[in-house]
Amino acid sequence: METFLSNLSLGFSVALGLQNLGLAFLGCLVGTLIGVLPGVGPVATIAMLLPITFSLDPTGSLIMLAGIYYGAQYGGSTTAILVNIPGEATSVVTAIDGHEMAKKGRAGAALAVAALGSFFAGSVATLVIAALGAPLTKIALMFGATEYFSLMIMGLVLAVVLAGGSVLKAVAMILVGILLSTVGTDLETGDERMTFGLIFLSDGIDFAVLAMGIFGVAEIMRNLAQPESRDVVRKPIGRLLPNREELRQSWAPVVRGTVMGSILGILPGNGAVLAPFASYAMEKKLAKDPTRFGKGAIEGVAGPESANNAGAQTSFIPLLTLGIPGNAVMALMVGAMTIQGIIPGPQVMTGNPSLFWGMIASMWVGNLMLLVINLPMVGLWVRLLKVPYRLMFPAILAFCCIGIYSINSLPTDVMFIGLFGFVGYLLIKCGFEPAPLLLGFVLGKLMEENMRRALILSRGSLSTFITEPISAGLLLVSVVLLAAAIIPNVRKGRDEMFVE
Amino acid sequence: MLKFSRRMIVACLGSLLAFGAAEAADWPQRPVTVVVSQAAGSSPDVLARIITDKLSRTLGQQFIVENRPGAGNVVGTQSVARANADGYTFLFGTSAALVTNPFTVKSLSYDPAKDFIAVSKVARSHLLLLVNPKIAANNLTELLALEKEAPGTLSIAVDGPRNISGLIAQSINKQSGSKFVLVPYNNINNAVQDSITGRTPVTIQSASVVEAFIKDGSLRPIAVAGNQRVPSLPDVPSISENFKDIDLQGWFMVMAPAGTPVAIVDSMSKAIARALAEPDVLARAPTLGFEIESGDIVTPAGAKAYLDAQLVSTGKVIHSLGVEPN
Repeated sequence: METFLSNLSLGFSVALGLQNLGLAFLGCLVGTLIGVLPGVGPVATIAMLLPITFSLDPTGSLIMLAGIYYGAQYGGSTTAILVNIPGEATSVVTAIDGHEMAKKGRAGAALAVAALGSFFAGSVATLVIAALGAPLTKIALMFGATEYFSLMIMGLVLAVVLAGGSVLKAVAMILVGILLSTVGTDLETGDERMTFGLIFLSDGIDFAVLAMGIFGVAEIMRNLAQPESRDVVRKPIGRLLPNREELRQSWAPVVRGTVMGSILGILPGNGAVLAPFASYAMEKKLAKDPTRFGKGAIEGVAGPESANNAGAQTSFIPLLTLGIPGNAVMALMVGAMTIQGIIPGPQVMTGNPSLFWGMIASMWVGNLMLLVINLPMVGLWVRLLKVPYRLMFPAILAFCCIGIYSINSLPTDVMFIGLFGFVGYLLIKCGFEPAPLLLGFVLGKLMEENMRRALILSRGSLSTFITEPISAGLLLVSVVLLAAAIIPNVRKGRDEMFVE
Repeated sequence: MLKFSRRMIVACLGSLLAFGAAEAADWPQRPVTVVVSQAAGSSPDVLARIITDKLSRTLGQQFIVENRPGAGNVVGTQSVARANADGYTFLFGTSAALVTNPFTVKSLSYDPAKDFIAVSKVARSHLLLLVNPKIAANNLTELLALEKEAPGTLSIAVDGPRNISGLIAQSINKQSGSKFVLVPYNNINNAVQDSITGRTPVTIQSASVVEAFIKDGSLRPIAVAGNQRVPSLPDVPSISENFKDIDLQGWFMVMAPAGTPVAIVDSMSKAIARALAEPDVLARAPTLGFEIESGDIVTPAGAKAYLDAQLVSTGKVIHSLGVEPN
């Protein structure tokens, strides 16, 4: 305990230095701004800023890059809530109820709860990293392809639970999502699948393109198609901050989301993606009145946002303790460290304690800064909603196009946003929800890759999924969850039939 | 101080005069684009940015890195093949784009020998064959003996059947009759993790990725891809020492679209040679897993000769594996 405290105080003495404090602020600010802009993600930004870090000291540059990362996580939620465009897989869930809240004039409350929940989650996750980072790494190493496949199955079951309306429609959307994820080059044979010989399809469909089209553009089209509901978002803003009732409803989901996010973030291979989905599903199951979900339930913002931020933070654990980056941003951080001559891995903690603990302390400092940056900005963001649609929609579309073009410089990406937007509009019209499709898309890729890898490693024996204990446990949980989700529906369906 | 800087100016003028004959005097007049066929932040991208940063300073115009990733380097490479040959677009070409794709991609949209002029070979990347420490083998011969005892039980983590590590693994299987099972990974970090835990006890990885794991003993390097040993690991033999024909390695070459004026190509090549000799470039490259080139191979003629030789040897290896373009 004493060494823990002395380590933390060493960390804070580094993180609270004037230069590092400034860099943390700069990182958080840049991150928030790029997060808010649809399309421009943290990966592209960090890559562009990498050369600038050559001239900074290692600790300072890592603090700044980390600030961009969680700043972007937070900024992405703002766009998701205000205009229903999730920039990243992790803010898809926030868009569902967050945007509904915004339509009801509670955008301020949604943004504030997201900020407060994220801050709480970030603080807890920082402590988790500091106290348990090293031992937790061992758990992460136990996850191989077999375990991962079963985890993804559990994620898909959660997607079914997640769906607001018909289970059948949700399953259909998940399957379409999985199907879309198989477009591209087959990893095992190198053959192209469903690309129609088109070169821009050979790497598959980009998540940002799909999400932006099917959520953002479709939402704009839907709004344009219904002139009578045009002004829903422009209702009086009302109180900016959440009222007592909303805070009371939020605290438990925040705590649960934090726990969920902290656990899933540790897993390698981007386990944090699942965290908001899992949290949303759990809140919906626990709620007294699940029908409120999808119509602006504050728990549906508080839980997933906390889970998202906790996961974003704890995904540093594999990087800091093992040197294995869990996602694309972490991989860039490895690049930044190696350029500085620091080889990420277990030896960083012992060989370079001021960097290790300084970075951990700066995470908490960064979270505090995000709160300081974002709470006053809530008013500003909400006022953005007052901008008339005839100005706002073209601006959003322009930002989407610039953002997506900046990633790969491919004109086809921009055209695809339009195509997916149209598809998304048709889906909404037919009563299908886009969220399960996106989850199916994200998990489909990981699922196929891990299933085939598990089967190669087991030399083709399917029983590997049941004989491995962790994998078997996850599959069992999935079966139970699925049964719990489907059985009441089947019964209800039968009741409805009888009524007819 | 004043005296010193005046001397420097004289020296610079002198060197300008010396090069003057072959170099393009009026180039560059505007910013120059260098296309990288991989994503921003990837290690070739970082190397390209380090070098273009130097070029911007010495040539007085902005050298802009443009990332055009996709389709296994085809998107970016093809865009330069079709670009104006006016000396304002260059390619930071990868070995995958220039010598592997011609044999693995059906109806490739560019021809590395005809559509480009080689400018400079800038660096080679170190690819290592490593084993989990539980595997009782200290070199390739011992590993092959171990595999012969129980054929088909050892898995090897690679980046794909048509990518360089996959081709190396298949070549070893082909030439030695071993039966390593190839496990492809999209994400190298998952591959490293599985090799540390022993799920895939053998792997082929870039030196920069595995440096930490070699240091703490969780992976043991037993061979280096290509025909040269690596300075930082002098005791580890090259794969060519066991299998002469398997000379597959990763490298980077700056290319210009065919038809670019020779004087500009020469100027570019000389500026690159100067950039590569700068101490901070030399110091940074090894941390990225690269070895900076110098001497004849950095000139257009030397680079061209190397490219032609690699096209022949890579083609031979891929044909022998029976890999058909698709």
